[in-house]
Amino acid sequence: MTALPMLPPGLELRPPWPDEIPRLKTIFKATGPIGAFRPLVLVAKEPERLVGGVLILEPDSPSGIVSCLLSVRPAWRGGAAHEALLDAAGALTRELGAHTIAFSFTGESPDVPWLESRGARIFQEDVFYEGNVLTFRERISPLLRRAREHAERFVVRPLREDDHAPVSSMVAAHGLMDEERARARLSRRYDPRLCMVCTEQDRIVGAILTISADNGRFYIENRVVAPDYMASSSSINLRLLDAISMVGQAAGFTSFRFSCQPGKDRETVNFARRCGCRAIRRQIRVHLRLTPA
Amino acid sequence: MLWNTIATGHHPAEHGIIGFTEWNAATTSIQPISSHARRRKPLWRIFSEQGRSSHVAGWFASHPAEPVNGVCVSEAFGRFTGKEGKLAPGAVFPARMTSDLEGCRVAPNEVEQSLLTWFSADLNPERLARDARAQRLLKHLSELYSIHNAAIDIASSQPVDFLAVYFHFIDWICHDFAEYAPPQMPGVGDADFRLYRQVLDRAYELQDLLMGDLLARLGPETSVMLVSDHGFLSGEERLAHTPSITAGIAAWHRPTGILAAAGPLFREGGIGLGSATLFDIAPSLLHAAGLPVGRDMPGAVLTEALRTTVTPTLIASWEREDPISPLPAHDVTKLDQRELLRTFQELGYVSMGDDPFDNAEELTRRENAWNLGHALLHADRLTEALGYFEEAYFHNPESVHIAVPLARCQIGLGLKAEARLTLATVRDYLPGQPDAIATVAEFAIRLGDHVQTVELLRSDAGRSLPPERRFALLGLALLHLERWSEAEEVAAQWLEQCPASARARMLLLRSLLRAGRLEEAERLAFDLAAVAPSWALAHFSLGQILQNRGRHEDASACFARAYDLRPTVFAPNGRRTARWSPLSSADASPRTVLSFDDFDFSGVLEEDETEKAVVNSDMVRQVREASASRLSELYRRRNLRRRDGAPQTRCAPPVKTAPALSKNLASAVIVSGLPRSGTSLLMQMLVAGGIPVKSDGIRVADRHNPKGFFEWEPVKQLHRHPERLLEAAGHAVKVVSSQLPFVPASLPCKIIWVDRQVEEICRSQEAMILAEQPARVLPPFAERAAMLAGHRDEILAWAEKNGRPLFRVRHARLLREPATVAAELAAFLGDLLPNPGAMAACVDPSLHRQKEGVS
Repeated sequence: MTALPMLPPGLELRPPWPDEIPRLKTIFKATGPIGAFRPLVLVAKEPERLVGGVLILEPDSPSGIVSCLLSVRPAWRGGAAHEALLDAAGALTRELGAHTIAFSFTGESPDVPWLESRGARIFQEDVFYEGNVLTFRERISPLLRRAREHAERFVVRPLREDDHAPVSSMVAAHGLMDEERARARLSRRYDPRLCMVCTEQDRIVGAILTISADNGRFYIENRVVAPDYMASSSSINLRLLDAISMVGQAAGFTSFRFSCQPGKDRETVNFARRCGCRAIRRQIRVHLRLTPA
Repeated sequence: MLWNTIATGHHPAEHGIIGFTEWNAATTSIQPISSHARRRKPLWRIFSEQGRSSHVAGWFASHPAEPVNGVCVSEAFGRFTGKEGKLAPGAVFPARMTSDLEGCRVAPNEVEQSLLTWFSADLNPERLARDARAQRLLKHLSELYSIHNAAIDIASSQPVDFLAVYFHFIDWICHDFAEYAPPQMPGVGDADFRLYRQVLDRAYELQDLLMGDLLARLGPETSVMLVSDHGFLSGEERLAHTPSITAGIAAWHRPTGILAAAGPLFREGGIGLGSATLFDIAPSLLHAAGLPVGRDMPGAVLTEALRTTVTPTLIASWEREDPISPLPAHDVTKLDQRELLRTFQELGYVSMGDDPFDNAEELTRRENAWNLGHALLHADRLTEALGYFEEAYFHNPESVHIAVPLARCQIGLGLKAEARLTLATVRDYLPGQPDAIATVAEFAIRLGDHVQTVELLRSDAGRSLPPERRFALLGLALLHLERWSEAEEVAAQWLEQCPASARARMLLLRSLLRAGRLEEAERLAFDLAAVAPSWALAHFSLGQILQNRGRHEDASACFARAYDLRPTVFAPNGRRTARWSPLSSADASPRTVLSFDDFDFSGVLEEDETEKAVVNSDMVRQVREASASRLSELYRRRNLRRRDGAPQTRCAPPVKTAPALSKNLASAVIVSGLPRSGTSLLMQMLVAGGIPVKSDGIRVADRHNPKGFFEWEPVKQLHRHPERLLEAAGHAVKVVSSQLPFVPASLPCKIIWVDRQVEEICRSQEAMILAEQPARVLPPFAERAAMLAGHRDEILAWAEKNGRPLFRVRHARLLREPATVAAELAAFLGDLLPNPGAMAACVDPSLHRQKEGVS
């Protein structure tokens, strides 16, 4: 068990009791499914209530980086309690054999500059978009017609199990995660109904990987294109998105979400706007590399 | 809640419909709240009991249909569930009318395409097949027409003295489509706006047409009252985001609904009914029909709306007149329940969270308790509301939306120290969030912490508030502190930023008035009454000034105007009344402070009645003691739960398991009997026979049962959580006799009952108890034996009555002839027992230590 840092009087940092687990959602605004995690809660007294916490998400496969949710109520931000949470996150991360903590924040979180002042750096910025499947299909049709001559040479079909190896390599080539982790995710994380590959003469040149939720929404987690097909990425993406929206609609999904990096993916941002998708939130990923213990 | 207040004239705390769902212990599932939950007579029952022909159609919480002197069509009548969309059993009373009325139902696929096109030209079959919103519209139309047709049928075929019809249509439509109505809201796409922009208006038009149809059928001699329980936000008032809290969807409701009446019983012309409440509907209709009004009904007869000039006759209570006959047994199909619950969940009225550490029963109870707490708070029944909010806050101390009503309640009851603690939840959000700052400032004023309020609002954080809110609160706190000149400065700053603000002028007026500058105040008051003619407080303030200056007649006119505009706050004699509460006479607790919406500057009018409400110290002590006792019980229960668990250092995502219906469940083999009758031996035999057993191994073997107990802890809580036994499907599980009646009906099972002479059981139990507690004094042997025999007979009678397959194993015979009994067991269990031959070898007669007649 990790030794927990000292705290000011009236506060306690500890693992939650089972009856406190459902209340974690009032502290962490996590969206989408998360896997196994290791939690610590910051508890204030009089009355006893959760005022902050840390969740370390267990990685699917061994990795030097672990994702962490760290949250503290505004009244406790920036003080000793906040420092203690960060120390605890570091200790839990080391326990998992990792050296870097990846934090995610939505919008303009004051935690970002605070973490930067403690040696963290902004790693990535994503904007999440949400679209209506129906509207999307209406908007994508003319685009697809225009790109038909380029797009027709590609064939789109559902992801098969024997595609896992080439798709994992493609994901790894994009630097999104290592190949082993990608393969693990392909087996467990995605909704096979909503994962597609794009091929040219039986070679996989693009893929779209999707997670579904019970609320009629799916989330496109990854879109990848083979490095030597980047010139055709617009056409490949169009075909994949068209296919997935068609399948999603048939399966009863009404909306979908995806994210992109506005600095890098200008094309995707414009495409999202053209297709009636709206930006719903901005997410900043911050990496903190731990100093050796 | 509100629709049953309309129908019964009683508060939800009395009529019992306090939410959308309830827990059904018999089916071990959540179901839409049923007519069984209602504890007060609705109008249709009262009319029936008085020999009038009385009917009801589609009323909320009216399923199963109840006996009336006419026809009762429950809300389930309009629901089409499952592939065939069968009518739910019990949806019509009398049952013989079911087949006649069934033709009135309009299934979603029977709604005409032309009607849909009228709602939106682009609602074609293709769209319907793929768009969930279009499908919901279809469903609402189906329900509307089904209930309407039933009402028309009743009106045409039955004598009608009274008919109540509840149309849910407009409410559903508003929740689903108000966001698409013009003007186009940010976040609504062009395509959606084009498609659904007309739906809301069309829905009102359609409902109007159908109402006309029904009224025409009833004829001009019929008197009609039209009531809605709330309004709905429209235009620019619509919300950008719906709060993600329980029943957050209600944030779209406008608190004021409509009330209209016409026909021979009602006066013609526009009548001011501004102070009418839902409580008044039932008494008014009873009086209009020549029936007496219950003194226990908190509402009043709306005499100004009725043609009759007869004084209402009163009786103690309708509940005491003729006890309501019991309702027929509830028989709601599970499919039906699921469908409606899904709708409620989609709308956000109920949350069926995947809380792995709580259960559906507990969550339903808590949600309904929370609803009831709000209803009681709204009625100023603070003493009763307090417990509900305390419990909600105990389980969710991080939630501001729970802390705020609790703090209001606590302040109203004089529990200021407790309220300050509760507000820690809101203070956790300081200094960053403007809403939290404003809430803390408002409560600080209510708690009399005016200096802190001024400091907070003058800090950088306080300056982040919108000017109207900041200046209003700051001015109010300064007036309380009698810092008139500073209040005047704040008013001046406010007017500089918002020159048209009437509230800024009111602050200035109050500052001048308190500073004794009456001439300036008078000029300002005249000006204010002219620019804000519908603001009661403006007229009231002017009246106060004129009174001070000896112009009593003019002052009276101002007071009368203020009273006309807000009779719930101002009295015609120039005093402020207590906040009007129809139920205050039934509750000895002091009234709560005004909500911020009512706050205006009324709080500083009369030396602030709200702050100086005399709270009886004895009563505060009693409330505090009761509160401490409740909290102590909550902590005790939590500690008990925690004692058996451990802090969670690692969490896996909860595994979602849908409760299986009986057809999908494998049979369970239940081994039961009185404690110490030999059930563990039977479990050993079943293990040897190859049946997997449900056992957690928590209770380990000891000298009383050297080969193990084979127990499973959830069985001990079966009376509270019978659904847990569904997990034992396909297993053998030991269920002690007293828990056997709680085995869910939906679990197919075969029961093996071990019969051992009660005298032997008595001795075995005694030996075991005394080994653990040598000082324990047990009741006499004969008494214990008789008690055990009685209990055994009761349980066996239950099994027989419920048709449960049960095989009795005589313990003594099992010891004598293990092979024979094993063969009989094999025949009883059939395919469930893969290896019957190994069972007999488990029997070890040497362990039979408490033989009859042997001490």
